[in-house]
Amino acid sequence: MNIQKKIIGVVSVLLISACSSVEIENAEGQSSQYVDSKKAKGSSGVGIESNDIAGMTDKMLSSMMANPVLLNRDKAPRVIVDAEYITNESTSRVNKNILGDRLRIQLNRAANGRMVFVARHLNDMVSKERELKRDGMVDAGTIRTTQAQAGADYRLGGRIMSHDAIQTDSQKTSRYHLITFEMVDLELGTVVWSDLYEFEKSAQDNVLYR
Amino acid sequence: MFKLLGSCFGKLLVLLLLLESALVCASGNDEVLKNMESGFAEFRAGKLKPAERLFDQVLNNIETVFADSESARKARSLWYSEDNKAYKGEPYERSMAYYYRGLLYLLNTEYGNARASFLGGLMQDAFAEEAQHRSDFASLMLLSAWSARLMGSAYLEKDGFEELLKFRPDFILPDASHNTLVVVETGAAPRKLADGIGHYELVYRKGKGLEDVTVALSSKGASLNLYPIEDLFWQASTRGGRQVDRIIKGKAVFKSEQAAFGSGLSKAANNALVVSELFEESSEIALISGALSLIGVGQMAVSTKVDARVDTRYWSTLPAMLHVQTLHLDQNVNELDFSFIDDFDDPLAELNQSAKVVWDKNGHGLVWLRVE
Repeated sequence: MNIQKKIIGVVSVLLISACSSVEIENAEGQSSQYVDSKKAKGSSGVGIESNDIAGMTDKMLSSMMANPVLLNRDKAPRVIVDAEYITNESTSRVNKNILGDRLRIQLNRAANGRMVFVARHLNDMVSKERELKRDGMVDAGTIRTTQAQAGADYRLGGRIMSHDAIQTDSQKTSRYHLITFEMVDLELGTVVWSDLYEFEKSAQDNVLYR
Repeated sequence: MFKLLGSCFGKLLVLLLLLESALVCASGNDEVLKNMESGFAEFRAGKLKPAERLFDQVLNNIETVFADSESARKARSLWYSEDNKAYKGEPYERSMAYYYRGLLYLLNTEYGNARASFLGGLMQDAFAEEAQHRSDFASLMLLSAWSARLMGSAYLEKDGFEELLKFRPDFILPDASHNTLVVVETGAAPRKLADGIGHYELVYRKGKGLEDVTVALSSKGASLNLYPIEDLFWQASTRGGRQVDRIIKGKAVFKSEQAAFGSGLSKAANNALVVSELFEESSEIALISGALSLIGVGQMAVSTKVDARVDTRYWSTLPAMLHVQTLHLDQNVNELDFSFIDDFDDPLAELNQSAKVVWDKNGHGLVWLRVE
């Protein structure tokens, strides 16, 4: 009887320890929390993420602010800074408006009147209001009336490009991104400022997915 | 002694059954699979925003690198089947998620992201073990080149179409005047089945539905056959082995070795028990044979608990074939008529139907139709 008890005891301990290995990943979940958008995330892939966007727009901001053609003019130049002429030729899906909007707003704040920002992305909104004013549906407002909307001196253009490499034996993926920004004179077509941002990421998925 | 062993054995079996129920209670995360199927359902119903949101979640999950996780560790362990891992799909399924997201981007005039999406799908196919079948997803090549054209990038368009012609040399490239892309999906998704002893081998079978059908675009009595550019069963079944298959095969070998060893020990124990009566030390021999028998049963029990089953979850709403055509249409054309012909050249009149031409704000048309 003693041996029987020992055998049953040992087997029970083994089985209970086996059962206890049944765990649910992060069963308790995680409450919503703020994270630093400028820091790399642990689980990310090789595409463009928030920290890349923050990094590149910050770099472009300081580079533009150091450009005398844009900022040291007697009369503040009119610029269009949006994503309309930023083309995505990369293999990363990205909302280009995040780039354009972040850059324009930061630049507007930093330029403090030394550049005038033309809201071409809201052109439709302005046109409708002008039409209402001219049709007499609403009055002229309190500022002024102008012949036309503001024309711009410079406009932002750029390209998002990437080069992918995959090691087919190990299935390690790497992606090099090159993002170029250029401010173009809208009469002459010359480039008055340009800069670039580049980074490369590599990752290898769990063997279960290879 | 025999009574003792019998009692032990009975209780052992009860405990094993308890263990089995405990192990079976765990299962893998199917969120990606559910989102793939829901995303397609929304896309098909013309609910584009919900479809975009669902496919974005799918692609984010696919692109997230699971360097290690509890579910991944489980799926690699002896005691759990592969389907304990969080589902990401096989490369052909992931490629198709990128395909649908790309179509949604095209409809939203986001040509750059459409191209990025189609190329993303193509890269999923680069993980094929069989070198000659890597990145041969021709439909995604066509779609990425088409997106490049809509972006206005002549060199990316040229590169894309040149790549396509390497895999589909008979494909007639779109004329410069073409402004509309037609995509017709036919048939049912390839199925995944578990084969081999212990269900450790993943095999593919064709979906049950429309097979080898020719799709024709009919207009004013004339008809134009669409180009059958992709066979998803081919894409699924020509990938070659997966790296994880080596782990699963290892589990299956371990399982069969444990079973054979356990069975051998039990047999030896029985033989010892039978002959023990002939010897003076019969009680000691019986005790040893009983212990051997128990170890044998234990080994067999371990073998039954090793789970070498492969993951057979699959995206069931995928089509079997993709057919494409590009053409020039006037922007006042809102519908196109399609007819279907089986592999005996007999018309399948009951399938004839129209599909809507969706014009984007830049005057580019997209026609999409699914026939099962």
